Amino acid sequence: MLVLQNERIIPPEQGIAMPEYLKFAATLWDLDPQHREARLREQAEKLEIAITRLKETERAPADLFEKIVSI
Amino acid sequence: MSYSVGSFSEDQLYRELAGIPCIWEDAKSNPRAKYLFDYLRHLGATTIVTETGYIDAASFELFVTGDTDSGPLQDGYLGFIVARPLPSAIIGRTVVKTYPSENGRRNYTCLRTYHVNLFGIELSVESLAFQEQDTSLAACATVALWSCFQKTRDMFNSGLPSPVVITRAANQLLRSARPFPSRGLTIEQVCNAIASVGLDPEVYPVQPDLPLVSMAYSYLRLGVPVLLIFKVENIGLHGVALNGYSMRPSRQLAREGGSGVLPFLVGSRIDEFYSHDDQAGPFSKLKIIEAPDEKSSVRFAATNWKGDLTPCALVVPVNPKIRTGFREVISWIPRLSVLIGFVRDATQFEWDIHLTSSNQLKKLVREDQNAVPADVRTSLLIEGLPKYLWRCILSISTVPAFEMLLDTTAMVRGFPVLRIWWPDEALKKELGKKLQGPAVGPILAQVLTTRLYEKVIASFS
Repeated sequence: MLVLQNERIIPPEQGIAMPEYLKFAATLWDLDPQHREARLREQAEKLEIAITRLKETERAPADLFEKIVSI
Repeated sequence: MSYSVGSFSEDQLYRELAGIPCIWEDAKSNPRAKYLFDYLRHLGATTIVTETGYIDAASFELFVTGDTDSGPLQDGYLGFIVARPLPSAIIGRTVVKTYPSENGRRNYTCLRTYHVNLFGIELSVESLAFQEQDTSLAACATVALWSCFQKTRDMFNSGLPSPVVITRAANQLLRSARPFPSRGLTIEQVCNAIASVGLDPEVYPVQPDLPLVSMAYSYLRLGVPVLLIFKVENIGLHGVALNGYSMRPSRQLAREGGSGVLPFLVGSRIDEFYSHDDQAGPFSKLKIIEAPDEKSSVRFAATNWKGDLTPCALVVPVNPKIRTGFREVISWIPRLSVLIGFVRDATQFEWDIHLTSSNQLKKLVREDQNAVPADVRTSLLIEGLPKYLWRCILSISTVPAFEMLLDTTAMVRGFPVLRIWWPDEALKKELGKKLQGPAVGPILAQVLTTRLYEKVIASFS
């Protein structure tokens, strides 16, 4: 493999970080319809938690706007 | 006005920078002057032409560097530095060429054309103007904004005030002390200054769930500079103007923020940003240090600062018509990732989310036959689109698989998804078949939201 100068190679075990809602998605179709529906609901709940967390990134710490950028 | 021509060397550069009342030692002890020497040396500078008595908006001497050994002057022209008669802040308006792209790795996206006239010879250089703070009229945040406004005027036809006008505008509504000498701005004052040129300040407080690198990239890709504010340990807060990035072919960061809530984004392949740091110089490198865990954000390292730099906020000066921001766009990514994760390995996903213009997109579609599937090409070219768009491209194992366009003028609670298409025809067929079962529909509508579900289903036909 050609590696460019200074390019970092992340070991595979460190390079896979997946949110909870994405785990097991592909195995959904191996389940019978009843279990599939239950799994989908479970995933939908985890998904909503993640989306709520993303939306909360808008919240600024109370003192953010008072800090002086001065250097 | 008189002039001189000399060979480029460190000693000569400092001599030329040191006009009255500055002396050679002032230039030699200025870290920005040393940075510029190293920078220009790497660009292959050979000759310095100096105009003395030059009057700039805030300075008195024009300084031009260039390689004039062969070919027309324009071919070897590297840019200019205006030397100020301020012993501790000699580096005034400075416009220099960037380093080569190195096969597309270095992306200096926030450049514009500067036209120069040297004794009747018209020259030009693609760059972004830099200057160091003088502390009397401008501190770091002011000069970083001044650099950002150089580019935003080019893009959005917004105002381009001088540093003194920026400081005054920043202090117009919120004044805790006299504005001059300027000892810095609060983030609120930064927002005031951005509003004063007719733009909106998009503020992103840095938090562990914010994919900071991808967020900055999403604006930089179109050429919108991003003001990054970070904390320097034991010193305080500092502001720099991000203006480019280094994109590698493979993943460089295991975490860039947001890893607990998002699949991999393209920012994980960026290993450094380029910034106008008034304490370093133009296009200085900010190395990205990956987040150690899900509860932290990335940090930065730069050769001119000791220790790690902890980001605090990013502020993007955007056209007010761009109402949908990066944070609204990424809230759709988890839903679509679950959908496509039903049939593909999500560990191989990489989302490239960036701002584009309809003109840029149509140009790309017109010039590159393979940019979009054939059935989408004609309609995209003739369709009336908003002036600015968010483009979301999902690649799976580096191959484009799914693409979505979002309307930047949509309201926060509106539905911004304009178009969806599938560059990977096999994925489209496989997923379309899976989703046909009657029992799946209602749950999927819950996962995707009803409107997105309908849009996805329509894209299969």
